[in-house]
Formats: sequence, C-alpha cells, structure tokens
Amino acid sequence: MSIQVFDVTKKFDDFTALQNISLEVAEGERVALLGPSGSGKTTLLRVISGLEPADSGRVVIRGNEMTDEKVSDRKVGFVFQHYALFRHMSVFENVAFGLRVRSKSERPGNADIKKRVLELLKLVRLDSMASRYPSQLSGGQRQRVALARALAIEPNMLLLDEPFGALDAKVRRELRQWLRELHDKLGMTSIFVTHDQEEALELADRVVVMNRGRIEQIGTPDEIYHHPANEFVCEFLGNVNFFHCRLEGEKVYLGNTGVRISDKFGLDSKHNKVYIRPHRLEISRVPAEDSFGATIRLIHSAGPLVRVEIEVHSGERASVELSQERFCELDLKKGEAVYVVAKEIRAYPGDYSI
Amino acid sequence: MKFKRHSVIPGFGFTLGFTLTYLSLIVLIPLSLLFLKATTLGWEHFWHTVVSARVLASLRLSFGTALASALVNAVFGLLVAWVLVRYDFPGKKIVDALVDLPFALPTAVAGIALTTLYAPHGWMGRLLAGLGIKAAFTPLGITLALIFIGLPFVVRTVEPILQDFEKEIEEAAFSLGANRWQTFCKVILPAILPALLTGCAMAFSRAVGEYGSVVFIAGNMPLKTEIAPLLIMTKLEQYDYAGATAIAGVMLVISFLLLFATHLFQAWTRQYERV
Repeated sequence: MSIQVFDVTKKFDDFTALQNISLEVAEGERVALLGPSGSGKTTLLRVISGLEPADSGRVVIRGNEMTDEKVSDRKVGFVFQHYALFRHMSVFENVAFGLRVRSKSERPGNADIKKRVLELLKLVRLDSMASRYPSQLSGGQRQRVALARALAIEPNMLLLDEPFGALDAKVRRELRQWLRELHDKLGMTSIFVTHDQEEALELADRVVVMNRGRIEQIGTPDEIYHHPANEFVCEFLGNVNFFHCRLEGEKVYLGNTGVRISDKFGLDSKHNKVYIRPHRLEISRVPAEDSFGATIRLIHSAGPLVRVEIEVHSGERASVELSQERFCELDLKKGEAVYVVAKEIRAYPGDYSI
Repeated sequence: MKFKRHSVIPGFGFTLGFTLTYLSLIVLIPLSLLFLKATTLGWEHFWHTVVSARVLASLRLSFGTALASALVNAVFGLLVAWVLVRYDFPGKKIVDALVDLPFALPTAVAGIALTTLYAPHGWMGRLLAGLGIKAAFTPLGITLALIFIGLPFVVRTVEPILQDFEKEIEEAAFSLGANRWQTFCKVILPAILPALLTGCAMAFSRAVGEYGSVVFIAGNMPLKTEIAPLLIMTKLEQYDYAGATAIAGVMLVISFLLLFATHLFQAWTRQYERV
C-alpha cells in the first residue's frame, strides 16, 4: 500500500472537517476525492500531505509512519489550485527550487540540476519557456510549471488540490487528458481533489465520494456511477430525475396523481423517493406495459444527445436523454403528449436525508 | 510626442496639470529658491563653505548615522511587522498603537527622553557604561534617536505586503523540502523586498533631515557630533543665509541621488512584474 489513512478526525473549532476517515491507496493508483465544497476533501488531502495536522488518527506512507512528520520530510508533490508559483523566480528557478533547497550532501550539482529541470520542462512541454516569469504564462502553463516543480523532488506521490479548478473548460479538458497520459508514463500514485464528477469519473482509477467530513462511497468510476451506494452519491453523480413515490398494495405510484410503475424494481414500503437517470427513461408514441403519460415541455437538441424536458401528469418535471437518431425517428414536438417507460430505477430508504 | 493614451478613466489632462502645479507650488518652487539663494555666494565661496572640515564632518555624520539607523530599522522593523501580522497575542492592539507613537510625539520630547535615558547617569547609560559603551553625546546616541523616529516607516510599509502574502506559496516551499530559514530567505524576503526598500528609504530620508530629537542626545561638538541640520541652524543664527542654503543644497542633491538609486534598485527587484 502506498498511502494508508487510519481513522483520521479533524475539527476546525466547532466544524468537523473530517470524521473517522480511513482510506487505502495502492501503489500507482489514481484516486479522486470527490464532493461538494465543505465536504472535507481538501482537508483530507492536506492531512495526507502534512500541511494540516490531524486531531487523531494516523497517516502511513509506503509503510512508514508519517503522522508526526513535517510536510518537508514527507516527500509529497503538492499541486495547489492557484498554482502558488514563486513570482519572483523564472520558470526554471521555480522547478529547480526543490533541488536547490536540499542539504549540501544531497544536493545535485549545478549541471545536474539544469539537466533535471530541462527534462521536466520538456515533460510538461514548457522547455521553451524556461526563462519566463510566471506572470508571463497562461493559467494552464502555470499549472504545468507547478506540476513540474512538484515532480522535481521525486515525490512518493502526487497530491493535487483542484488542479484544474481555476482554468476554463477547454484548457481543462486538454490538461486532463494530458495529465492522464503523463500519469500512465510515470506510474506515480496520485490523489486529486475535485468537485467536478465528470473529471473524477474520467481521470480516476477509484473515486472517493465525500460529504460532510465522511466518505459516502469508494469505488471504481463504473461502480460509483452505476451502483451508487446511497441517495447522496446518486444525486451528486450526474443528472438524475427525482420522484416522490408511494406504495399501494403491490403497486408503486409515482407522484401524487398515481402514475403506476413497474414493481419489478423491488421497491417496498420503506422507499418513498426514486431516482431515474435521464438516459434510463424512454419515450414512445404508443403506450406500453408500465408506461406513463407525459407532455413535452422543452427540447434541447444541440449536442450529441437530445435532452427533452417532460412534465408527468402528476405535475412533476423530468428530463429524458435520447440519441439524435431516435429523436428524428419519433419526430417529437414541443407540447405533444407521449408515453414514457422507466428502464432503471434507484431507490433508497426514505429516512435518509441529505 | 503623444503622452495621452485612450483610457476609460477620464481626466488625464486635468489631473496631470493639477499634479504638476501642486508639486511646483509645494516642492519645486521652495527648493529652487534655495538653490537660487545659494548662488548668491559665488562659486568660489560656495565651494569653500561646502568643503570646510566642519561641514564635511557634519555631512558624513548625518548621512552615516541615517544610513545606520535605516539598516537597523530594516531588520527590526521587519521583525515587528512580522510579529504583528503573524501572531495573535494579548495586548497586540496596544503594541500596534505604540508603533505609531514616534510619528506623533514632538521630536524634542523624544530627544530629551532619550538623552535622560542614555546620559552617563541615566538608566540605560549606566548599564552601557558598565560595558564600556558611551551612548549619549556620540554618533551611537544619534543613531539611537534616528532609529526611534524611523521605526514606523518600515513597519507600516511592510505590514500590508506581509498581510497579503499567500499562505499557499509558503506551503509550496515547505512541501518542496525547504526549511523555515530557506523559505524566509528565498520566498518571503524577495516578495517583501520592494516594500522593505520603500520603508528604508523613507526612514533614511526622515533621519537625514531630523533635528529635534537629535540635538539633545548629540552633544553637538563640532567635527564630532554636530549634524548637518544643526550646522544649517547655526549659520542661520549668524545671519549667514547663503552659507546655510549652500549646505542645504548639498544635502538635497545627495539625498536626491540616494533616493533615486534606491528607486532604481527597487525597480530592479520588481522586474518580474513587468511583462
């Protein structure tokens, strides 16, 4: 195991940022800490790095007890959301910093430092920018300098705090792809914090979903997306339609006016809410078994998928996603009455609250 | 040549005109009159006045002690600012207010208080005498008085910069393996250096012209502890107005050159900001 966190708790005055968190990360694994703001994900990252001491619990890195070690002794490559570059140093000196501050016996010679830094700058594709100052770089370039700087110390692992948070969408996507390639090349254990579920699902081997200082679920992106452990994870990951429901006899009814849906989903009396992903709802022109009536309210057809907003007869709104082909085939128009079938329903015990 | 560039902020012409008029009235006209008066001496007489042993000694003393006090203030003013920004302790507000006192106190009061303290029989003077150090009536005493009046400049210019310094940048340095000393020298100090220089330059300029607090503790022995501003006063009292303005003119030129050099150096320390 590369990183082990045992039962870590951290409080800021009255606010509990982390509550009995335990986590194991394997060598070479890419883990995303995903959650809304205030969920404790950044605090967990800082506790692992040593930037923040835990109130209780232990941190073990590569089998070495690190709980009381300072950040400078943990050899972690930390990448900050706002880059935290040294403004008065050139790109070259920023990357060289970690090597230059080593004690005399460990410090490489000037020629070696130069070689290392230029290698790293080539790796992050900034070798032509070595003599520039951070203020002369774009956001994406600055973040790459920050990454090269973190890699210069040959860290045990990379910790990235919302690494793409301050960048615009296009740069973000490019940098994400580039980071994944880089990671595959280096094979370094890395943990990154994000509040963007798409980013987490795309980049991580495993996703840790956090909420209110606790871990809600740990799993591969597939597990998290297709088998969310609870309501919170289900709602946090991607668009989802939410319905109140009630059980009468053997039948489950959606909403207030009693739209009957199939009982094959194994719902029982303790469920009073259901979740249906937009692409798991199907629209048809003719009624089928377990279909319910709905009216089309809005159509967004720009994009790979067509999103149709429907109003169920009970008054509840929902969105449906379908392919462009299917959309053309059905020839849907705003205001039309259609039939909808749910292909998959998730339900959680009703007493759960978010 | 066209100075005016298009800008959404209006009033360039008006504000520039106002600034030039204002500076002329407040600074340039009085100073040029000073030089005008000095020219009534004639070149030979001017030169004779300026290079006399007594004047040279006083200039050396004034600029030397001012420089020493500015350097001491740079170190300890930075320390005070650091403590005020970084730490919370009981009575912090009071300490904060104390820093400004040298601004508010009439300088003569400060001078008399310091003289009483550091005179051979004063509290501190006795202690120092035990160590074989004589403070009052020596350049050391003058430097002490100048440190006193210059302290707020450094503290107040460095404080806001330290306050704005991002915690993350320090954390980045630590995470890269730097210890506290390396982080301070290589990361924090370069960031506050421009402000520190400004504070030092202000403390230095104030110290060069300081009169009230120094005359009491200096002892005012010609060639030894007589500062240039006092020499100017002495000349004025002897109705040697032209002689007084000659010394003043020399002081002004030296001060101007030193401040200009400081600004150039400061611009150099901030070159990374120019894109």
